[in-house]
Amino acid sequence: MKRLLVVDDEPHVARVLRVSLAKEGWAIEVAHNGTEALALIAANPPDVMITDIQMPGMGGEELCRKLHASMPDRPFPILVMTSMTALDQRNWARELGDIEFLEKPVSPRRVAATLTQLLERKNNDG
Amino acid sequence: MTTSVNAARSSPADRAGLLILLAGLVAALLVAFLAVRHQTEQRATELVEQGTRLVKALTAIPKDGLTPAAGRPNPLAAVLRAHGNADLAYGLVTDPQGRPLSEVTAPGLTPTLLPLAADKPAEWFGHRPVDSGVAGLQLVEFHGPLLQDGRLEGFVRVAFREPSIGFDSRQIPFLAGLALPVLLLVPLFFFMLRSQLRPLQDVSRRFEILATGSAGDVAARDVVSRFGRFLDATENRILELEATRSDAETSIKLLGYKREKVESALETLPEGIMVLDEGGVVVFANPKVGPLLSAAPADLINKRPAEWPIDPAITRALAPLLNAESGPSTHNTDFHPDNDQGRRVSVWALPLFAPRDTTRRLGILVVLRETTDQMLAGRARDEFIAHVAHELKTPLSNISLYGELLRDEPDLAADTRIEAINTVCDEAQRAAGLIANLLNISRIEAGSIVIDRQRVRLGELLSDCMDHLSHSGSTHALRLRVDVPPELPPIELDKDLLRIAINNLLTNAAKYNRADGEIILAAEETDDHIVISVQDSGIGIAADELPHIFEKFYRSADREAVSRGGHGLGLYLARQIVELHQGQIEVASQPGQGTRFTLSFRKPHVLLRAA
Repeated sequence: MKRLLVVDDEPHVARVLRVSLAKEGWAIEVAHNGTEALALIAANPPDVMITDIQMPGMGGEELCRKLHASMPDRPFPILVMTSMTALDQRNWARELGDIEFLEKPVSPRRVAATLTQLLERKNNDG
Repeated sequence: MTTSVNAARSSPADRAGLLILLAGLVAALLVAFLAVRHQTEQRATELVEQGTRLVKALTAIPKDGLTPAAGRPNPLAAVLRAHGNADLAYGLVTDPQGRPLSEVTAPGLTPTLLPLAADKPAEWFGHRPVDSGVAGLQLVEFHGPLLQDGRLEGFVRVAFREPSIGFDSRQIPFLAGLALPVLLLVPLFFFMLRSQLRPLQDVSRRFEILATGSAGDVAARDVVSRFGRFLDATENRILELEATRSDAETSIKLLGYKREKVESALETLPEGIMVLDEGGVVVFANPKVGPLLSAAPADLINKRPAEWPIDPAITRALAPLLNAESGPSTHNTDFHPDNDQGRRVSVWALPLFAPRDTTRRLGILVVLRETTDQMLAGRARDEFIAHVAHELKTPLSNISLYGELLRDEPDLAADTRIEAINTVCDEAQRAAGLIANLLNISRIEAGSIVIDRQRVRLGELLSDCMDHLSHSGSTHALRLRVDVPPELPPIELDKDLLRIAINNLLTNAAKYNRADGEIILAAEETDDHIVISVQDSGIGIAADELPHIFEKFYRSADREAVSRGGHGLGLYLARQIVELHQGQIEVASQPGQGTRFTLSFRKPHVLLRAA
C-alpha cells in the first residue's frame, strides 16, 4: 500500500484525501506541522509527502529545507499544496529541487493524478 | 545805454575791491597798534624793574653817603647821573618825617611830593604814580627806607617819567617791514581773485543781456539754449542714476531678505537638500543631510561625490544620480544607511536649469528623505494582504474540497456525507465572518468608524447574542447561560459594535469548548465598572500564548485549537471595539479547564447621564 504523509494544520484536507484516495490504494498519515512530520519521516519515510506552507510552528518551507539538509537523496517526492499564491514564495523550492506545487483550492481528483505522476517519476528515476 | 549798464553792473565788484583794500589797511594798522601797545607795556615793565633795582641799590648806601657835605659834590646826583636814565624825573633823600636832605630834580619839573608813613613799615618799599606838575606828564615814584641798625633814618625816593603810548623811532623799520607785505599781498590777492572771477562775470553778464532781450545775438542764445538743455539732461541723468541706485539698494535688500527666507525654509525642510553645481561640486547642503548620509554637511561642501566622507556603498548607489557631465540618468534610488536593512533613505535627483535659458544646466538638486516608515508600512501591507488572502482561501479551499468530494463520490458513507455538508456550511460561515471582521477592522483602523452610543439594556443584548449563537448550529450539546442581574442600569454603548465583539467571543467559546461544556455570558456592576464576561469550559489557552491572543492574525500552535479552525482576527477585533469605548478586555485561562474573557467599562464612560 502506498503511503502518503499529509502535513497541514487544516484537518479537512487530510479527511477528504483519506476518503477520496482510499480506493486508489493510498494510506494517509497526518502531521499538523513540520515538527510532527519530521518525527514521522524519521520513523518511516512515506512514498509521497503533501505539505502546506503556512502552519503554526514549523512551516512547510522549513520542513523541506530540513529534509534537504538531513536527506540529500530524499527517497520521496514532495507536493506542496498552499493557498499562498505569490510566485516569489516558491523560489526556495527551485533551490531544493523535486518539489511540485498545487494551489488551493484543489480537487481530490487533481491531487490523485499528481500523486500518480510523482510516484511514476520516482519509480522511473529509481 | 550799454555803457551805463556796464558801469552800473561793474560797481559792486569795484566796491568789493575797495572793501578788500580798506580791510588790508585796517589789518596793517591793527598790526602796528598791537606792536606799539606791546612795546609800551614792555617799557613799563622795564621801568618798574629798573626803579625798584635803583631804590634797592640806593637804600643799601648809608644815609650819610647820600647827603651832601661840605667840600664834596652831591653824592645822590652823582649816583643818578651814573645810572644814566633820560627819563629820571627826580631823586630825593628825606628824613623819616619827609624833610629833604638831598635832592636832584630834572629841569622844568615841580613834582608834588607825597608823604610816606614812617609808622607803616609795609608801605616803606613800593612805587606809586605822582603828579609831575606838568600837564600830560605822569611820574612813577619808587621809594625805599634808609635803615641804620634797624632804625629808620629816612627814605630814598626816585621818580621816572611814565612811558607813553607812541612810536619808538627805533621800531619804525620793524613796523614798516611788517605792514609792507600786508599792504602788498592784499591788492595782489584782490587782482588774482578778480581775474578768476572775470569769466564768470562775463557769463553772468551774457545771461543778463539775454534775459533782458537787449542783444540780438542768436548764436549766443543758441549756445546758451544748448548749454541749458545739456544741463537739464545732465540733471535728469543724475536723477535717473540716483533712482537706479536707490532701486538697486532696495533690490539688494529684498534679495537679501528673500535669500534669508529661502535658506531658512531649506534648513527647516524635513528632507535633506543638496545642490551640486555644474561641475558636480556641492555648493549647498542643509543640516538634515547630515544624519541621512552620516556625514556633517560642512564636510560635503566644495567636494565631489567621490570625495564625500561617507560609506562607499552609498556613493556607488548615488553615482547614477549625481553624474555631473551627463546629469542624472535616473531620478530616484534608495539605500540603507549604515547598511541597516531596517532603515531606508530615498534619494531624488533633479537637474537644475537656468531660469531664462532652459538649455543651460546649472547643476543638480538632490533631495534625501528617510522612507523607513513607508518601507515598513509597505512590508506590513504586503504581509497583511498575503495573510488575508491565505485566510480567505482556506475556507474556500475546504468548501471546494468537500464540494468536489460530494460531486465525485456518489457512494459516500452517510456520516461522511453529513460531515462534508456541515463542513461546507461551517467554512462558508467562517469566510463570511472573516470578511465581516476584516471590513470592521479596516473601518476601525482607518478611523472612519463613528461610535453610535445608544441606550443599551445589557440583559436584552446578551440574551440576543446567546440566541444567535444557539441558532448557528455550533453549540450542539453545550449548556448556555445568560446571567445578568435585573437591577443592572442601562448603559450607553455602540450596540452593533458591542454585539460583534461579544459574538466573536461566544463563537470562540463554542468552537474551543468541550462537547458537553458550558458557556456563561454574564454582566455585573462593580463600584467603578460595568463588567461583561464570557466564560467557557473548553480546552483553554497555554500561559505563553495568552499575551499574544489579541494580536492580529495570531493563531494558537496548539493542535487541538488548530484543528478547530479560526482566522486570528476575532479577538483582535473584539479588543479594538472595547478600546474604542475606553474599555479594557482581559483574559484568564486554565488549559483543560476553560477560558474567561472580561470586558470592563468605566461607569463614567458608559452610564446614562441623569435625564
